[in-house]
Amino acid sequence: MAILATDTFDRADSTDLGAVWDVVPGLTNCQIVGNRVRSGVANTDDIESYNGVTWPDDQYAQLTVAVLTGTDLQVGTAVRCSTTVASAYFGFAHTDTGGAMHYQLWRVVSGTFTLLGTDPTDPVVGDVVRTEAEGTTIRLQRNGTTLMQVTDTNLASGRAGVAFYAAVLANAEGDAWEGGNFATRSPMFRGA
Amino acid sequence: MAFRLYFVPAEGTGTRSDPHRPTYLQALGEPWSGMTYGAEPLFLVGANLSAAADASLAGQADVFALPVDLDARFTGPTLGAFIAFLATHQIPTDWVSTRMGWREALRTIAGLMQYLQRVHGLGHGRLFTGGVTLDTAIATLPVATQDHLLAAARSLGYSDPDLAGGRTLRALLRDMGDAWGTRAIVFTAGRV
Repeated sequence: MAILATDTFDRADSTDLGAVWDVVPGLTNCQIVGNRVRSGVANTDDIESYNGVTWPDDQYAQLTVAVLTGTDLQVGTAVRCSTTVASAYFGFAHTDTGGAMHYQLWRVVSGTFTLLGTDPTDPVVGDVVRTEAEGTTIRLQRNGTTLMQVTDTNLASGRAGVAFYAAVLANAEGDAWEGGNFATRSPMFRGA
Repeated sequence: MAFRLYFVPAEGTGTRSDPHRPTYLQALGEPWSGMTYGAEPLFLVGANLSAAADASLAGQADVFALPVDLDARFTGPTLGAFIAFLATHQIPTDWVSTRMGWREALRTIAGLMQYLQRVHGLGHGRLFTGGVTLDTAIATLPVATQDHLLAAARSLGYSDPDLAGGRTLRALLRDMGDAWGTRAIVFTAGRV
């Protein structure tokens, strides 16, 4: 497993994450506030993909939950984000409109949203949320433990990114984003 | 209880606020993950539910709960009920017999579900709409649909399927289910 890209969002507040980030077509933007990433538009799916590297088909994206308060919000990451249509897999820490907290794994394909799984584990600030696409297996991990996985062939390739949703923008924030692949490192040999 | 699979009808319109999702599952409040039959309104859900939740879900008239022991062979009555259920959801079953076990049949069905997922991921909506059934000749479908059926097979690494003449969707889907082969079918709670 190798890290291919990182972003700590340690720069000036902006409604644009920067030149290495693109909004997934048909969805809306994230923004930077206080050196963290959050939704840019209330009550919409804000998913952006990282364009600074060429992503392999097998990829992961993770970030740390920095703020999670109130209701109707999500803090998460996305993989296999399309650059042409509203398509991606995304997993997140979530609080629903009634205040129930859990983790969920979703996909959006050409603008059609589908819930692929739920785990009632309560997310907390500091959790590392990680979405993975490895072959035809899509996973959601929390702090290194797989909470959900399922076989899904809808999307074969794309970019890694971030995924937010919030009724109140300041209620859901993330930090320390990282994306990578599943390549194994070559073994190192030492001479005698 | 134990890892169990359930065919569950989908609900939702596919929007962010009303995503496609398996009926009944969210209300149970327990972990689950599920795969779709392309864009058709059916999920194959895998979960390790409590006894009460399992009884609730399996007791729904429009849910088909598979046996926990997938290596058991079909009996006449269970085979008849299984075929009748799948037929209502446009899943070919004319090849299923009492000489088979549940797992063997289910792997082919999961494989053809994955094939239709890739068709969906390439941009195609529901296949079985507007009078299209399993017995529809592929050559009579719109060219764009035929293109998606071919492109999906190629992108999964399969040989080009025969789409000509009077070949039906029933025959194609069976072949695509078999083509899945030994690839993994995974859920959070187990695998097939």
